Amino acid sequence: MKMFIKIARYTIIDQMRAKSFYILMAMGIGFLFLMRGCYSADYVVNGQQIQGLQSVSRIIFQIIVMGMLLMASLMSMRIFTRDQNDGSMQMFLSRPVKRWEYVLGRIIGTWLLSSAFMLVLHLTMFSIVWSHTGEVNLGYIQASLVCSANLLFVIAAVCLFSLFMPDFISALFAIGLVCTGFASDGGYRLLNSEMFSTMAPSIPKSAPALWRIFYPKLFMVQAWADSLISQDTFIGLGPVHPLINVLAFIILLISLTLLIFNKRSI
Amino acid sequence: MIELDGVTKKFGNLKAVDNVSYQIKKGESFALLGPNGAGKTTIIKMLLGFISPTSGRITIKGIPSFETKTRNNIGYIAEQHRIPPYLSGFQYLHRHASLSGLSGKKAQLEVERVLEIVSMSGREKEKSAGYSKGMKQRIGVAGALIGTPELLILDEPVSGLDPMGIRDIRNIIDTLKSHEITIVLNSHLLSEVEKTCDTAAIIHKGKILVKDSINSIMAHGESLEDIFVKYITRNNK
Repeated sequence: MKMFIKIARYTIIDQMRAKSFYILMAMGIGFLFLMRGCYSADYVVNGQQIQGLQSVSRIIFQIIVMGMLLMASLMSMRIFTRDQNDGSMQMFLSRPVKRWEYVLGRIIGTWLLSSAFMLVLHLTMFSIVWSHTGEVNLGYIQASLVCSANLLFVIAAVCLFSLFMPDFISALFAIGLVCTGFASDGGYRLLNSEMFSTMAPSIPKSAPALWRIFYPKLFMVQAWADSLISQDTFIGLGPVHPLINVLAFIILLISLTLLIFNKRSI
Repeated sequence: MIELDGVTKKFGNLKAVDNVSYQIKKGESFALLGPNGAGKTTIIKMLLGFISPTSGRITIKGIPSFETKTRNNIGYIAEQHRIPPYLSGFQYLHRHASLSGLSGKKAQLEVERVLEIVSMSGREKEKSAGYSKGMKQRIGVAGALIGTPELLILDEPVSGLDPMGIRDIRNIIDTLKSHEITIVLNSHLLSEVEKTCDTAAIIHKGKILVKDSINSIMAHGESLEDIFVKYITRNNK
């Protein structure tokens, strides 16, 4: 266990050595400050006045998560290849480090770093909203922590795919997996929304297909996170809570990665 | 110290190692000789648990080589040794020390000790991206020496080094021999093997052709190179 923590720590330190890490963070924070003018505007949708600050901040919250999913996939796609090429893998595994400690250390290190990165951006947003309204909405922090499960899913998926696919393809494949879930769950939510029922009352509400129920529920996790900010009621899809669904997939992906990596020649 | 018993490793249809059995005693310095693709590196990787044998058994001090605890006492330098370019020599060695269970002051003292052995004191804070091949090799040897291992596995440790570098690495190996450390050396430089090793095995197409003391192999006054060429040519026919 101690080795796993050490490797996770090395992963964080090594990623933070790159200047691009700080440039991206500065760009992210800069983007949030540039967008702050949007919070004060008044918006009218479908003839109804909506609260600009609440709506825009929730949209930007989700944009941050999407950006981080992309960044996490790029960060994790080269973990094993880079380690093999620069000698890190041999350095770790020629010492009394178990293979699962190495794999888990790398995955958890990358996850902690990307989650911290995302939390910094969400905290920046939280501060902007706070400065505009004086209202302390801790839902932003809770939602950020919830969305970090999606980051872990993407990192685990990319790591698994990178064991038998070229790096970039593995990242694309994982993002494709996420996008399919977003299209499926997002589409289902939209079709069953009040707005859609008003617009097209002739289309009956349909029950979701079985694959949709058991497909990784990353979109629903984000929808749940959104409900923590807005304090609206969350209506899920399927018999289990989306977070449990995503956690089950994370365990499955990590187990498969460990299984395949264990049999791999170094 | 090391025992290989009927070890075979197949990659698809190719037998990289074919029913190899031998023992290496404690304190022995043993050389694995063979042309490229003979199966030397595969054997070394199996000793380290990097690859598992298709059949047969490898033990180090009676413990199967795939068990992590065997690596508590092993120092290893890989063929074409690489150091992550963003790490300095000190950081790289400190990681080795930390992964070997040393921490704080003990780790630092250990790093300083091995840096002294490989004559790299004073350059350890520089990023390894700026090191020459010889310097990287020295740092690699220093990494292998962390924690005073009982078994040192050196895979082509002098590959690509200039004569001075080769002599320095040879001197380090000589010093280690006097400390009763078991050494497994994989090298193409037969003149170096003659000078540094007690025993050797010539391996070709995954099979051991001969395993004996260097003196016995060279009993008829021929050089190790001549004997090596003779064995390989005979078995190529």
